[in-house]
Amino acid sequence: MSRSSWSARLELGHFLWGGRPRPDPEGAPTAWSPRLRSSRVFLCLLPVLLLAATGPSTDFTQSIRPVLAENCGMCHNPGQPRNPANFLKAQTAKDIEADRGLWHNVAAQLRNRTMPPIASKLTEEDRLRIATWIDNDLRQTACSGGDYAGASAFRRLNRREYRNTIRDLLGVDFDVSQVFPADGTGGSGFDTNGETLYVPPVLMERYMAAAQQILDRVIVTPPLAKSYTPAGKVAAGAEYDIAIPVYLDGDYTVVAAQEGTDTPAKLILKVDGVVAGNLAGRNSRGTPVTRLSALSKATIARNLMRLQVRLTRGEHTLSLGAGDAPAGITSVTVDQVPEAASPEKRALHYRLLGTEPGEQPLQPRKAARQVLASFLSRAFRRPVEPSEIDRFMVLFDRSAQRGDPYTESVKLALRGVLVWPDFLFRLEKRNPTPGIYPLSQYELATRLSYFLWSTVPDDQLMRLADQGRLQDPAVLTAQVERMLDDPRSRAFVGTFVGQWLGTQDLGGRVAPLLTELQSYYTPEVAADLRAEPILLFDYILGGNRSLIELLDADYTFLTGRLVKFYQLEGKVDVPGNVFKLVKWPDNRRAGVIEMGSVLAHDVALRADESGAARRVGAGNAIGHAGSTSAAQRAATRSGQEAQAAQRPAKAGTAPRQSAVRSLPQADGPDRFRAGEFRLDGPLAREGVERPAAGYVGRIAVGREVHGTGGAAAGAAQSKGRFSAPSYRQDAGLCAGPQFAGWRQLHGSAPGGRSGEGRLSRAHADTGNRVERRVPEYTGRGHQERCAKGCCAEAATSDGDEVENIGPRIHANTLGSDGGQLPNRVGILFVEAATRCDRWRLVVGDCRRDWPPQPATMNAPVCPSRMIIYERRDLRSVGVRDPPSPGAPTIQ
Amino acid sequence: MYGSFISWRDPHTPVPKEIIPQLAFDRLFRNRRAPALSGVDPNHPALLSSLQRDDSIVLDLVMNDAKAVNRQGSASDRVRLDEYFESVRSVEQRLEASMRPQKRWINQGKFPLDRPSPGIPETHAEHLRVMLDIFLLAFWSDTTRIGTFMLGDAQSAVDYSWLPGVRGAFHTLSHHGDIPATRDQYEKIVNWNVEQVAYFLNRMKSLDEGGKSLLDNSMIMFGASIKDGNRHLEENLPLLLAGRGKGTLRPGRRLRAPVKTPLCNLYLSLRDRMGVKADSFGDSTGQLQGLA
Repeated sequence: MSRSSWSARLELGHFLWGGRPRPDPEGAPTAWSPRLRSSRVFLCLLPVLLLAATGPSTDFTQSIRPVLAENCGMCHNPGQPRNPANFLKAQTAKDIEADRGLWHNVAAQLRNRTMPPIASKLTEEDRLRIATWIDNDLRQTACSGGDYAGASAFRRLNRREYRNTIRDLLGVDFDVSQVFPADGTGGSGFDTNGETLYVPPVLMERYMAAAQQILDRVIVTPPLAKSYTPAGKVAAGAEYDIAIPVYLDGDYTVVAAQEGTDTPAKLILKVDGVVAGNLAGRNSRGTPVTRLSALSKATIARNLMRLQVRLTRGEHTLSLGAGDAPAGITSVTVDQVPEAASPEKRALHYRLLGTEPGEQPLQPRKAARQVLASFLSRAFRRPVEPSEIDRFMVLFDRSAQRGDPYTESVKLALRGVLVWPDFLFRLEKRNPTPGIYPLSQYELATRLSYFLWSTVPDDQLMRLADQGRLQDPAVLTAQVERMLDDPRSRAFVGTFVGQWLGTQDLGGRVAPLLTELQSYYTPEVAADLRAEPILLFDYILGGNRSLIELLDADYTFLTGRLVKFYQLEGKVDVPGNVFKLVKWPDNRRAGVIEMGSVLAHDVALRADESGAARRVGAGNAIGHAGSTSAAQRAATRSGQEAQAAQRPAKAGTAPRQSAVRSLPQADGPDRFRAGEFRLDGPLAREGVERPAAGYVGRIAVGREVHGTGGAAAGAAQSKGRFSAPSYRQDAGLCAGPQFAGWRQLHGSAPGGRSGEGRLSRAHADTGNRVERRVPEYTGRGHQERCAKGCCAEAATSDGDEVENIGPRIHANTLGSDGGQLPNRVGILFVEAATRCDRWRLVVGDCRRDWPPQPATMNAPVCPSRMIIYERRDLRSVGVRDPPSPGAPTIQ
Repeated sequence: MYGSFISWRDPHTPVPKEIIPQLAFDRLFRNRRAPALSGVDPNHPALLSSLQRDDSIVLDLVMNDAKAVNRQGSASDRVRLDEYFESVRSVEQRLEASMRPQKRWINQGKFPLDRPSPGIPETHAEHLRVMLDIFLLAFWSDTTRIGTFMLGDAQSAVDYSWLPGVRGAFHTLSHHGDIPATRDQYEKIVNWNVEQVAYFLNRMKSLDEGGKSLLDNSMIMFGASIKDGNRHLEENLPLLLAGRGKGTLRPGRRLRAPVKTPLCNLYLSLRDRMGVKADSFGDSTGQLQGLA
């Protein structure tokens, strides 16, 4: 199952360019064609439904802004400088351009019904109309601002990247998760969002401490052993002071010898002026004795007295005295209690320094310079200037002049490197003028490497960068394939899937309530649940399988524990707790969406829904038809609650929030909101309960983070709330069972239509599965500029054409830097459009000159320039034979 | 994001919170570096080359050399790097401060708190209690004079099913929909949390500080940013101010502020009492009257 079989095709593009690329429109088609599969027409017809009948500008001034002004103007008065979200300052549709992110928020808040407050008189109709208008406007103007979407922020290495980087640079696995504060994900759920990778002082402190600890684990410093001889007898009341440099935290033995006498003075040891204890003699069995005369002269040759103290790194003053008595101290030795360096550590030491532990180079300074030169270029991921090395030699010299051991001097210089901005950030050279410009070879290598491996580029990438060959399409393609084949790409698969689906939090932040699920849930189950979608994704990626299997795979990976969790005992054969590829025994589940982990995540994030919603989710997580299962009980109860909740609303009592929302029947292009569903009866699965008449099932699985939390947490904060570049909105995976699918399944007759036509009726119509859900992930940044015109939103239609609807998954696995989305390379989106007759995993930037001809496009389209795509004849979708089980067992 | 922090360095940058007891403890109580020779001025020439100084030297180098590099960057690049250098400076200052002769700890006695074990305690109750104790010790030992404490995130997903009569998580239950059974559960959660605050205040009251209690010399504000979680009402917030602020506050009363008084007026007044004078803070319109 090699990943090289992944038919990857790379288009040179965003990886080659900083900012937003659009170097040469004419050149684009030629750049494209040679890399297309020869016999097929690589064509993408992306019908874009343009909803706006009249010009956006007149619409805005006539029917959008007035309504907003009336309903929002009280709090969002443009004349009021403290207004936290000043979207009404836009007087014309054109002004929206200036604040795209904010307006995106406005639409989301409207859809979420988080704004305006309940008391507002905004009608549902207006709410949806305006939100839709805004979305459409944003979409249509996506590319109107030109190709250059703005600059990006340097991205700090996040915790994962830091850990991997240290591992690959120095060979030690330093677990930072308990030490560094968590990286902010800014609502998008991805820990690579440059805008929220802050560097607070506490993190800086930890970087300093970590650098020391890491280097201590690599570099073997010879144990300290020092002897001192007092000039004369220590008088009564006086002390003998020793200044001692301690390089490593640890235990140190202080041994004092006194002039031969049977009753030596009792010595008191002070460390930095604080009494540490009394020195005592020890007999041969190690038992302390207070009177040396009790020992034979043979045991105590010179009246040695010792004490072990723990010392921290730094210079310490040890003071020895006998209090009121004089002490005839002849010598004092301080020895570090040695900790034998493991062979591994000695190897790491050698690898880094090129010398054996304990070996002193003949020319220390020259040797140190060599070590630094090699380490710096790897740590900074680029060649370094001699002047840069000199900078760190200042640290070396400081230590060397102090008389520190060579290793300690190198260590100090390396500590500087490990807190240097060029190491902690992925700095790139920016063009002085705004616009698109090529990335350097090294920047490209770094982007690739942190994208697919979450770590520093390896030697091969660096070598290709040295040779200036990385931008060669063939080389780049080969490198991506190699990188995907490398085990390090698990870092990409695991974290991408875990963050994309939110399943990484399962067992931590996301845990089931200690009620219905208690008997099913253990930490081991949680771990297995977390692994399940990752294995599926990995299987699809590694086997070059259709991406649609993410949605409709009728197989999964289970352990014995999961079999029990899913209540499949006797139906599937999974011996033991080793993951095994199995086919679902019935058609109740498919793809990632119905995995327990994804559903559980949904449950936990339904925090703003009522208990009914939560338990519906919980029921789904367990799952299914077991007649006495907790799931069913939950479902039944949720149904009752749902109905109970419905009643007062109908009776017209006070407004209140409920999981059961009365959406207007023709909710039109309302987007799926995470957790929102309409429910006139209990949500049911086939064979569990029939839904009540009029049932319109709609569940969005996913998460949506909106910015209303902690609203009054301080004006200073709220001021920046919407203007903050880091503010992100509406990220997540949403999935909805197709209405058609539900209809077909349940035989009820809902009147709802699918929102924006994004749902795949193709699935609903073709399979026998209970429901297929189409994940819809739209990172804000993506939607903002890239996606809207281009591939993402394009295939929208409310029509019934089966094939013009495509599922797609977008994610900014590398972080998209807020609304500006400058770093296309940070975007990974997996797109599937049925009509396009292909699947693509797209990495890179969008451009307007997406093939084919602009004439066929209704809207600006920004295709990606770096594409890994899998071409596939989709006519077989839905009737494809299931993959044969009996496939490999994955350990 | 905004629900996860209550302390902000600037409008865009939150101050991360420390939720691991041991790390909080170490940062507060074990991060001191004694000068190489006790009682010696840390700027003594003999000490400038000492090991203790190495951290400062490294940071100095970053400040001087790394900052001097002329890096072409966008505005957002600048923001990130400025933040980085700001943090470097801040750590440097902290290091300097930690090497100065230490403050005298005037309070006598022992405080029953051991260094916590690594990780996060198993139960929420234990976790909260140990964090409160650390907070308490930090005030009592005068390790810090300012602290913020979150009982949970704004949308806390903490499951309170261990409380008798409660089944569910904080945030979920906060949207109780005015259903009595749910609201009662929510009330139990809120009560429990307020009990924790009461514990904290009682402990402060029991600790002697120069003949008065620690509480007498403190100003402790407790509250929520939302009045009614179910409706997301953000006005008329439930706020409690405890302590006498060294005689500048008169507790034991209910104080009604005029309608629409910004919360920042209270912050401004509290700052003022700490000697941090300012004309305005956030959206304040003036000091909150009637506290004394």
